[in-house]
Amino acid sequence: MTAEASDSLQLKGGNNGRLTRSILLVEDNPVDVDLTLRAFARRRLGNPIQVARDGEEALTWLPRWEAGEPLPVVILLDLKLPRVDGLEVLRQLKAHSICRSVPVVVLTTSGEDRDVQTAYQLGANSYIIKPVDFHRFLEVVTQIELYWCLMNEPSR
Amino acid sequence: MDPEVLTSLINNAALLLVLAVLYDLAFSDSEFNTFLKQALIGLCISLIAVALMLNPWVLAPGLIFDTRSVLLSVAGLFFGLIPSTIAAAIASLFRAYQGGPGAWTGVVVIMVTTGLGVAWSYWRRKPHQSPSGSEFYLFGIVTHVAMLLCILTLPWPVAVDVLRRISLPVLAVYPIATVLLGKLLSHHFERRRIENALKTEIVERRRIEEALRESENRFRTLFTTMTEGMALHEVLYDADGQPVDYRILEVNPAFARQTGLASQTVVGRCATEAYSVSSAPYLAIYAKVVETSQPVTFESYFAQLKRHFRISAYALRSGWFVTVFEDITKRKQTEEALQESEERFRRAIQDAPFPIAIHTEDGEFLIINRTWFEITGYTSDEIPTIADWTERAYGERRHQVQEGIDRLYALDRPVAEGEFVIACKDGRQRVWEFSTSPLSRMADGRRTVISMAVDITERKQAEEEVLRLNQELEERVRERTIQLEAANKELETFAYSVSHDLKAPLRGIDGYSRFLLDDYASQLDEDGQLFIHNIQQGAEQMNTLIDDLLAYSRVERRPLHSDVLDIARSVERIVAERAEEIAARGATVRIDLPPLTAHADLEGLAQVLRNLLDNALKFGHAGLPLQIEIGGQAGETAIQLWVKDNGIGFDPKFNDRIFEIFQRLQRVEDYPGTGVGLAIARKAIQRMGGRIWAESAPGQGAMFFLELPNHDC
Repeated sequence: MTAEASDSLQLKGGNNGRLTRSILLVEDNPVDVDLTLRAFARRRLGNPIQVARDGEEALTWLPRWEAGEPLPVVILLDLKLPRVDGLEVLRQLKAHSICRSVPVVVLTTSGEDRDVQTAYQLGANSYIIKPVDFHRFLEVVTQIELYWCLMNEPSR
Repeated sequence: MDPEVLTSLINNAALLLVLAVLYDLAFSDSEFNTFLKQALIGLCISLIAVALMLNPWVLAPGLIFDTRSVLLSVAGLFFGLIPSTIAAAIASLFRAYQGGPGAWTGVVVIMVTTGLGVAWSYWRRKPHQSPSGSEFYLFGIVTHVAMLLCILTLPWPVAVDVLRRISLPVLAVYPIATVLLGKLLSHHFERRRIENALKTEIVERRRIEEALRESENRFRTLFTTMTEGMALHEVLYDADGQPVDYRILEVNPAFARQTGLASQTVVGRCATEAYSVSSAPYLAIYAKVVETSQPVTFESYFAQLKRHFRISAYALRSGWFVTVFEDITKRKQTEEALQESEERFRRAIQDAPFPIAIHTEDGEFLIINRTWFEITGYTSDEIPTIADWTERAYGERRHQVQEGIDRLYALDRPVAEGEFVIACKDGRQRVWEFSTSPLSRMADGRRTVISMAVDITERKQAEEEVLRLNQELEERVRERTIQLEAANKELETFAYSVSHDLKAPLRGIDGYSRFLLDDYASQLDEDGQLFIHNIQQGAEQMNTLIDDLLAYSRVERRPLHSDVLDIARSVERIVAERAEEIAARGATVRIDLPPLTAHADLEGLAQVLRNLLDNALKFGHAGLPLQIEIGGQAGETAIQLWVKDNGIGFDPKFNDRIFEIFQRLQRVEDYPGTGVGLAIARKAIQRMGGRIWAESAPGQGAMFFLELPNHDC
């Protein structure tokens, strides 16, 4: 199924350059960072992954992008973050003209209605609950990469 | 004596007798009083005198003698000044007309004898008693001595001759003639006087009799027509002179009306008998009236007749007395009723449990009741007038209050004056709510007003207390709300943390276990692999537990909506959601619902139904096709739904425990679960104002009931 999807993607987009654009992972929990990186590694997908370990660090990317550094193909954002809360990060990202168009996938443990609603209101492109089961987490990671990195046509 | 003289004498005597007849006529029918009549009598006397003078005896030519002196002197004595003067004047004129040498002497004789007669009658001080015979004789001597002395007016030799010739016969005969004529006249006079007296007495007696009759009639009429009862009594005494009874002698017609006793039953009877009593009523009083002749008036209740009487008694004569009385029972009753009413009114005011005062427009208190004094602590001496009251109770505000009170009198209708703060004697302040109402005017024309107050001090305090408590309560509610909000916030934060932070390690445990199994399987023996597998299971169970816990807490935190629900559709939706599980279990779900509508929280009800369905699906009998039935009905005040299964059921003793969180009746390996589902169901239904319960027996299946308040029907 995955092979078919990537095939069709390649047929459609034909832009392999996107695979070189990075994914920004905003996640404070080292275990989660590690598991996420391993999951991506296991899927052997090519996008490099940048990690911001808290909200503040995530926001340091804004001036860098303004300075001309390439935008990530997708931002994976945890909500519960030290220093600056994930939702606040989301708000600022979506408020900023330079990165407004970068898809933000909220990847978090919380399934709270409120969080889901707020996230979407702030402009989240997707809201995914991190499963505890690693198998399923792997699937999620695969889907994210497939969809946001391969199928989705980012704005420029 | 020559025959001529004799004839003259007889003529004279006859003429004198005429005077007696004349006298009779003069006094015959009426009083001898009018001047005309007296003049007439004077004329008659003079005519007799003239006749006498025409029948004289002639002593010498121009010298005549007659009995005119007797006539005129007696006439002067009996007839008074006016007739005598007239008679004398006419006789004198006639004598002067006859002329002759004795004319002047004749006139003098007429004057003197008449004057003596009048003077004698005037000087004798007993005009109503006739002179006696001797007095007449004396009078005759005096008159005729005077007449003889008049002869001296003639020329001396003639006078001496005349005197010598007539003195003796004159003094012998003329006084006797005077006595005879006088007696005759006085006899007539006396008879006339007695007749007159008798006549007068008869007239007087008649008048008195008439007056008496009239008076009698008047009193009789009064007696019979007066409205008061009247009775004449006689006191009866015993041998010792002590009054023992009294007899009723006469009663008037009103007696019967006033007493109710017929007069024939009482008249002539003793009081004891008439009134059927052992001792005569009021005997002592009446006896005293008779004894002292002092009238009395008294009021008394006469028990025998059951009437009140006002009785006046006065003594009539020895032993007799009269009573005049009136039945005043009605008046008495009215008075008593009035007194009672007055007393009731007074007590109602005095004993009323709230302050009442009645006052006049000029500020005098007529009544201040007990409660008024009790509450304020003032005495009646301290607040005799409105002015004193306002000064003590209102102090600085008294003028303002006084103006308000003054206005009341003019309004003349009930007024709710409102609340006033008054100062009591001990300085405490109380709140009185006054209302006033006009009363009638006093006899002296002053208007009166009744003022009533309700002491609302406690009520006001209570109101203030309620207000204060309300504010406090609001404050507390606010505080609690803040606390609750804070708690909720905390809970949310907690739940948030739980879902993030508790699950992150689990994900690590599971993830790394997976890596171990995947990447290091060759280095692990069978036990090692089992351990890792158990670790994964533990993590998974922990994950479920956390999810359930969050779901449970979410039930509490989720805001409630009031949706109009079609129950059947909700149920069908839930069943459809679980179609896969139902198929997997090989279960049949039968929905048997009438059309039902409820006001409830859509998601809340869905959660309850979902959990109940899950519960039924979970606890099926191994080897027995699972049958689930969902039914419902609308009751009076509630909608009832039930979920029935033919599963393993449970012991009824666990009826309540199954709805408590983390309570499990089965082993996890037999029936996995966290024991949260039914707790969530119960919490959700309770939040909607409904309830949940279950009926079951081991092995007999279970029936879960839901009840939702039915606001619509």
